[in-house]
Amino acid sequence: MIEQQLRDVMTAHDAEAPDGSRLVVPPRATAARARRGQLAVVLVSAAVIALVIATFSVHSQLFNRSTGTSLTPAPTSASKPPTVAALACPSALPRPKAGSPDLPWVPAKPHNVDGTSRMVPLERPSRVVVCAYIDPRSPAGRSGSAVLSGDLQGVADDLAWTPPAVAGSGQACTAVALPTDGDGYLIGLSYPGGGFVWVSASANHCSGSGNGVFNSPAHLSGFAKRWYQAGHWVAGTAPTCRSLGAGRLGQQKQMVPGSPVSVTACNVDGGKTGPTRPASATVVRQLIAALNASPSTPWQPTCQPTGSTFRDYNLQFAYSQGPPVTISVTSGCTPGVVNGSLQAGGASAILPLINTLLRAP
Amino acid sequence: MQVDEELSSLVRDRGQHLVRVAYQLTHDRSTAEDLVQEALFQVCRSWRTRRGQPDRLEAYVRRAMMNVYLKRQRGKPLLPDAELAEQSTDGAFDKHLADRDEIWRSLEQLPMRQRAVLVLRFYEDLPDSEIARLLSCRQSTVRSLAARGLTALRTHVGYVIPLSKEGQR
Repeated sequence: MIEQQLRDVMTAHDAEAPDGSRLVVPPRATAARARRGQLAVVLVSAAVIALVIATFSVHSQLFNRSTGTSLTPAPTSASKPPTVAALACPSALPRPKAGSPDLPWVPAKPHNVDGTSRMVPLERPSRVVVCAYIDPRSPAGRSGSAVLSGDLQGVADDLAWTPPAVAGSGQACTAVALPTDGDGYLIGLSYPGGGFVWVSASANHCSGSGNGVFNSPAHLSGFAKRWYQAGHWVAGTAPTCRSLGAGRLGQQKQMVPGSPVSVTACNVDGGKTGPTRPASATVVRQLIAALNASPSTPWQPTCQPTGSTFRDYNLQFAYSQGPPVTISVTSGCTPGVVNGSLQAGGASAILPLINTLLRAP
Repeated sequence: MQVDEELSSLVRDRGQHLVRVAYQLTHDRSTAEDLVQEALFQVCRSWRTRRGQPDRLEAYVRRAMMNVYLKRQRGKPLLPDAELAEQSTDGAFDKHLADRDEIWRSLEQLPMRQRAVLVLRFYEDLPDSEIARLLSCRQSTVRSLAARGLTALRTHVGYVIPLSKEGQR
């Protein structure tokens, strides 16, 4: 019987599965971090922390062995940059100090560019270098650096819309250790006139990104990894309606920022995705007005049940430029409306409009 | 109980099983870990009302796993047929191992939904109603996918090991 053979085969291969114990969060680690009131909701396991520390300790050796990798010290804000700063990768990322805030580290703060209102300027950089610090056990390749070739506008487009961290907001991450959690990337962008900005893009799924003054919970390591491996800018996969994506600058101030050009509604629990173009502009205007009307507060990944029936929907608002904003709307829960940076009360006012969108031809 | 405690508890108690199911689906250790992680990450981000209901939390994670798996595997190229032709037919034990290995590799050839149904039915021993709920489809679809998957496995194994049929006569 093929059925019994199948059972036997699956059982025979069972032992090949990874060890699930490495996924476990030691209870003490969870409690300790929770007491410190840090932002992460679910915490990285001790294995991840050990992995990161080990990674930092070996990076220097890795870089010394790698070929074709510049090891000259990175410029600091005190040094006089050339016309187009040839940023060089630091030989290693610093070891995090115990007890210090877990903020993204960069070799130098933004110089002669606006790094306060955006992660990087919208303008096209003249030179981009990606420094990769890959843990030896990671499947992400080898440590090294790559000066990107080709059109660099895509780099600016991908990084400039990163939403900032919101004071008092939570961050969702899971307790599972990933093989790439020990990896780290730095992206150095140089501009005409000597300006430059470094972006830290940790691959640890519980860490965010930052340029030294502008920090974000967004994960930018996916960009860095693709560019480093390709040697040039590579377009990423557009976020779908069912994924929240990295978000969009402005969502920290308003649930639906700016002027979206289209909306897609989808049932996260299954079912059909809604229309990519609104059936009625009036409904969309009502939707945006309703979403922005409710008082919002920094997002906390929590929920107070308000009923026994729960339905999850996403609304993805697209723009003529930059990434979309995806809003999660959940019935039976307070807060019921979340955009990744902000949250607002119940979903009751929004659900009839979503249903209208989903019913649209 | 907080979401981190609930998820931590779930990972602690059921993490090994979740990873094993993921490995049965992906046949790759790193991808299996990645699959579980991504599912947990999605559940964590979209966390709503599962607090205080551990049973629902696991069900939600398992459903997220299936969604991530089906989405991720879409478009993945199938192994070339030539790889199926490799076999050992020397001796009964070798033959048994060859059959087993062949079934394992043939699973990788199946369309993702068929493979998911077979893993859920024959590895997890889930009833069709539960499989249908996890895959967001009807029970009749589950039965159809299982039947087609099993037929494909029989075809694959029968094709690449023709001596097996000879020897059974």
